[in-house]
Amino acid sequence: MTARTHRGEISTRRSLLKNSGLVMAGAALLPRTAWSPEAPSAPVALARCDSYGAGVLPTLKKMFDQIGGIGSLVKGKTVAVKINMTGSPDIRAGVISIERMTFTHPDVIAATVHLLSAAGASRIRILESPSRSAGPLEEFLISAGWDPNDFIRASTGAKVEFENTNFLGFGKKYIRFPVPKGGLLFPAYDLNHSYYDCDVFVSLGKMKEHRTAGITLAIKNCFGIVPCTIYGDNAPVDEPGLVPRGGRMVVHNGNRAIPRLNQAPPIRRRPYFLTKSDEIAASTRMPPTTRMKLLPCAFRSSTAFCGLVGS
Amino acid sequence: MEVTKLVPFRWPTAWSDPKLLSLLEGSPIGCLVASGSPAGVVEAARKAGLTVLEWNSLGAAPLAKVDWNSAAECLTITDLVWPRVKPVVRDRASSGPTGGPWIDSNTWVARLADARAPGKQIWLAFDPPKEEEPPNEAAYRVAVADAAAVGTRWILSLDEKLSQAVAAGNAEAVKTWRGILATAAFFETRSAWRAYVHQGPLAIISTFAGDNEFMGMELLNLAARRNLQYRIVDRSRMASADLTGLRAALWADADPPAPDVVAKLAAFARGGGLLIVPRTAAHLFKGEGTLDCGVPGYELRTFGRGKVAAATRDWDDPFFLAADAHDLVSRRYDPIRIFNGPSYWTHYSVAPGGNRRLLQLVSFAGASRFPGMGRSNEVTVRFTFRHSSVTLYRLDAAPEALRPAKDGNNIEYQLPEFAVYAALEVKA
Repeated sequence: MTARTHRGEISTRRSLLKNSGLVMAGAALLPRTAWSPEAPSAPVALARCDSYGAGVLPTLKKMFDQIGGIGSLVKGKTVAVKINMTGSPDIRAGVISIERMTFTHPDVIAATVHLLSAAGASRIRILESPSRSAGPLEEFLISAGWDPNDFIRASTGAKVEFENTNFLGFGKKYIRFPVPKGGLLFPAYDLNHSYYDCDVFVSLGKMKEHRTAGITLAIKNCFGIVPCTIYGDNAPVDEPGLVPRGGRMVVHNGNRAIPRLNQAPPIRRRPYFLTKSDEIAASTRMPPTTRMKLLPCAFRSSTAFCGLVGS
Repeated sequence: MEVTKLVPFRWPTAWSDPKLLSLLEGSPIGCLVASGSPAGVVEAARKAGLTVLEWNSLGAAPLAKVDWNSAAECLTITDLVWPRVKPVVRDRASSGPTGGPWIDSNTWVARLADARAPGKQIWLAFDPPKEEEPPNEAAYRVAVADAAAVGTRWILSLDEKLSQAVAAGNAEAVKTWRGILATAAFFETRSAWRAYVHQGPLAIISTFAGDNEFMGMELLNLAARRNLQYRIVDRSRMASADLTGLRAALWADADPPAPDVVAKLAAFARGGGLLIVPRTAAHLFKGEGTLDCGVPGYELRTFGRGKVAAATRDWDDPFFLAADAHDLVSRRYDPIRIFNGPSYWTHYSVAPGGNRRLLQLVSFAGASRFPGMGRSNEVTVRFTFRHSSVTLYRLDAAPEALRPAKDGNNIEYQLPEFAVYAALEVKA
């Protein structure tokens, strides 16, 4: 795997493993400032859940308990939940629904909403940046055959809201998130207000293969927070577009990223997906204020949980 | 028999032998459209009980030039497309803005014609594409189905190679010919479906002409392509247009409505409907207050019991306007939901009385290599209204009752294999 990852160049698990040695060697040469912040040392819960449905909620509840509970983190707070909906919502693999393939399963989302609400969250905002779309997120969910009201009903009291973060959305302006230590691709990212106007951020990913990154987990899920009005295909150069005019292939392919990467020679040896996703994720960890906090254990455990169920 | 009930066939100019009329025996064809055919053929055809019309007598014209007030029993429209997935140029596939394949279809033209001349039989006149590989049997059947699904009839027209081969008795060509006739016969035996009214939650209102032609027509085309079901309201018939049962009405024209129309649209919104208007008409529907609008480029206003979505910028792209309209109306009100349907053109209509509804799917996929894009046995359908039974009709199989499958709390129908066309008749 090299910094140049082009459309049609698909990373396989074999190539990912093969190249990981080179990656590690290259990474060791990087200056310390190029790395993301230290990995969190909070506890991680893993669980097995044999199927979606009734078993999801008790399993997730137990996992949250195992990491020490989430009440102290979310009580009275606004929680942003970034879900993962990659691909067209009305395309299935044969008759297999999209939530059993690439989308965070609605049972997992509903269970998360329920538990966050039960733990005292005052507002839960379900977020995603569906490719090419500036429509309401609820519409994207409906296209997948879901009912957004299911998530509202899953709450025991917290207000549940939805926002498509692929553009300005309900905000008045984009919020600039500086990347710690200056950044590798960009020194900062301009994001939808939802990633700023929250107290707690949860990445509720979907464990799956990814043609560029090799695998999607919670950090890779954050790749989808960048608005296509700025970072997408056919986006205007000097200012954000009103609506997305394409997907995220520009950033996927590195068309925009490569020139910046070339400015920092060591970066060439760095795996492309780590560069981008770490950087974007890191920017969300360090907003201009300290209002945003990660929920590392919860999102990590839930992501692993998703992967176990989905595999 | 009235001409309006006949299946027309463009008699090939090279078919000069009256004996070739035997090819029509037992077929649904009842009308020959001839262009200077030999008198012997014409005479023999009339003796056989066929109606013969000269092409020049049809008054055939492109959509923009059709005389909608003509006394003719049938209105014939020309300058149409050969219905198909847009041809591949070298190694590049053509796709629509949605990423799905771009489909050429005449159905939105046919529906607009029906809106302009309600009750008149519409004939669609188009020929197989020239200077490329002639269509195969499936392609011909798609051409028949594309017209019939909206209650019109294609004036059957064979490519030169096929007509010569059929006349020569070539077995493969005759099989293709029989396939075309069987497809036409399928729709003629289900003529009751022609009385079903195409419905949807949205009314699209426009002159579809002059400065409004591009935006209005492409909106019809692209809204249908994204399975946004709609009614067409031609502005010339706005006074008599029935807006009951609609969730939303979209004024697609840049020029604002006249005062009487403003009153009608305002009444629709005050009664609970959603009115979508361009920036140029926003001042006519001020409303009482504003709401959060999740669709960029619109101001959402309360308006009596309903709402007005007023564009804050000029509409310049019908694809985005169709997408905006779908988002503003909401997919909650889509009567059908289809999975793996990008290669299908769908038509939703309701029987007079409302006790039966019909979903027709015309497959443009051919032998698609892409999962979810072509294989008909991967199509799943949900109906968002209550119903008691669903019967599947296919071109080459007997009707069969479809068994529902459960996906979570949802009832859906996984369609079995079908070629070219399928219809689901849904009983209340």
